[in-house]
Amino acid sequence: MDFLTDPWAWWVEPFSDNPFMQRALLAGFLAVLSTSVVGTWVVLRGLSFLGDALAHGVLPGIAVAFILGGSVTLGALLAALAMVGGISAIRNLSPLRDDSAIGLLFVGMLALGVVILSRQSGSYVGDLSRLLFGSVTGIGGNDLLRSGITAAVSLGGVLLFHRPFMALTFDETQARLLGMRPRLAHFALLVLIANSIVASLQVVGTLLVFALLVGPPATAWLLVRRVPLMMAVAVLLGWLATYVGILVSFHHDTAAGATMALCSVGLFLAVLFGRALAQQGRKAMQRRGAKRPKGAHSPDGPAPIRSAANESNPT
Amino acid sequence: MKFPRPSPPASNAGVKVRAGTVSEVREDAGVRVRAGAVPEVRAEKLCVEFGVVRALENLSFALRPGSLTAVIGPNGSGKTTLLMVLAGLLQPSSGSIGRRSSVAYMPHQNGHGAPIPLIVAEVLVMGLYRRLGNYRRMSAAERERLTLAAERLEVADLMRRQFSEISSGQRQRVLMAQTLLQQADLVLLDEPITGLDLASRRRIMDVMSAECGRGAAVVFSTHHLDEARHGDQVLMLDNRLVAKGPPEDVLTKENLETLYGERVIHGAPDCDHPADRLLVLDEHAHGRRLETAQQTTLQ
Ligand SMILES: Nc1ncnc2c1ncn2[C@@H]1O[C@H](COP(=O)(O)OP(=O)(O)OP(=O)(O)O)[C@@H](O)[C@H]1O
Ligand SMILES: [Mg+2]
Repeated sequence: MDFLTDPWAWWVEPFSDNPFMQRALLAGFLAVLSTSVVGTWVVLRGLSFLGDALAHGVLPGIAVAFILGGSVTLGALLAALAMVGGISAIRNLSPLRDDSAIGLLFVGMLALGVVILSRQSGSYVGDLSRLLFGSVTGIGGNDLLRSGITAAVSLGGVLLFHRPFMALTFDETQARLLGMRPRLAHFALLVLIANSIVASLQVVGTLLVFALLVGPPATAWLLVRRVPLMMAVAVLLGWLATYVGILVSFHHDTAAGATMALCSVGLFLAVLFGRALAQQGRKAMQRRGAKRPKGAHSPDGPAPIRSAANESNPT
Repeated sequence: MKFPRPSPPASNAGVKVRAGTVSEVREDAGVRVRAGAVPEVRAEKLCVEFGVVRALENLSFALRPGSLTAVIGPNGSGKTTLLMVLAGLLQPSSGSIGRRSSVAYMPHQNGHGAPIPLIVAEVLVMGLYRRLGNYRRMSAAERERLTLAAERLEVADLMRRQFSEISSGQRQRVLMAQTLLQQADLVLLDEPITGLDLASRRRIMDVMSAECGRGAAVVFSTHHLDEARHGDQVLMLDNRLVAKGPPEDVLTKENLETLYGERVIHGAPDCDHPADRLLVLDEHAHGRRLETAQQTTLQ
């Protein structure tokens, strides 16, 4: 209960005392900025499966980069772009529905990653788990710069393509007739998804990045019903989840990435149930409000029992 | 009752038309339409096949700028297919259509039940995309045009509502307003008046003739023969062109019998002729709704 009894020490001191925590928080916030705005379109367009597949499909790129000692970010980005290209190609060439195309590539890429890694000795395992689950506490200045750039790309892309994305969500055919280029817009969205996934690799890792991509926007959708507002709320919710996640991880020594992911999903469930409860409550209030005029002399007191009693023996 | 064109309609029984709306558009049209600037669209021997299904066979016709064309035919006769081909959404298996500069297409009954968070105003803004591009904000003039289009279709008070939550008739009017905003040379409307109340139907017919007045070639498909008669040209389809030409030449008993024959006879008790019955039925329904509409306005 430290977070209540000694809030300063629980909520703030970890950051004021530890530069690595500051960097972790900043990296988390930048990743959320990227994933939440792009994730909003993922959620609205029903591309969650694609997002998930992309998140996991970057594995072979990471593996190859690892083995060759190159930039992991670059490897992941190339793998993601290869996958985006592959999905678009299958989409255009076959009558298959998108989900089959995505699923095939997803499992193919994952398998490829595992095959590449299985040829190597066990010395990578520790490093690899960092990539699978993130290593937010080991973030350096360069990583922050990269996160900043990817976040800027995501924001810029979302601003630039706002209208086409909107129309695409509305109706692809109509978008084309309105003079937009829906294929191009769709491809741009895929690239933005890949970008934001790569941006958050270091924070939550490939296996959990999905939680940041879909969690906050999905939660935001429960609360607001305008796209720009959804994005803003998603960012705030994502920041909340990251902040709490990092702190829980710090105080209780849990895996940082996983804790953040858990917070993100937990937040969604909390809002979902909270909303359902609020709706129930509102309905109950309305029912009572409707009945009140009949139950003539029932003031503000403990109304439920009395009005129920009134009703059970009508005069 | 014929919708007069190109002069503004003098009387509009039972329907209140905002004063000046139509004539404003006409003035606008005067500036925009230069004689011969927009060539007519010519379709030559159009054929569309879906596998073994022949949706359209050997269609040839022309769409003059400023003309209203009604496409009629029973279910499955190829109306939607024709509009899609004209819109360029579907490639004909053979035959050709002349070059079209700008096309607006309003699909029939948009099945947008999917609750995407999108308000009516945002749907309308999409209609201005060609002008605005990806990021330019609306100018005051464009904002005004948007409001005017919304008012002409009486959706101005729906602007802040979620598009997925308004009724399908309201959605149709919103999409019609979006179509107006595109100011296309070729305006294609798939069953724009199906499922609308009388006042909305009249309103959309008015707007369509205003679009013609602006110089656009307007094509709409419909099952309402009554409204089809307001077209300059009627294309009667049954997967081929049964007849084309002015409504009085096309909507004849013989043609209608070819088209609807048996189906109508079965449903019609003591009626001399299927075509009469069909038209009479339509008139009756029209008249009744008109009365009801007037009564409601009086109350
Ligand atoms: N995508 C498609 N694949 C196969 N056949 C199709 C396709 N689209 C239309 N058809 C066929 O083409 C014919 C014409 O269909 P179309 O939708 O143009 O009719 P319609 O006149 O618009 O009918 P309705 O009045 O019901 O709207 C029908 O026989 C239909 O089954
Ligand atoms: Mg149709």
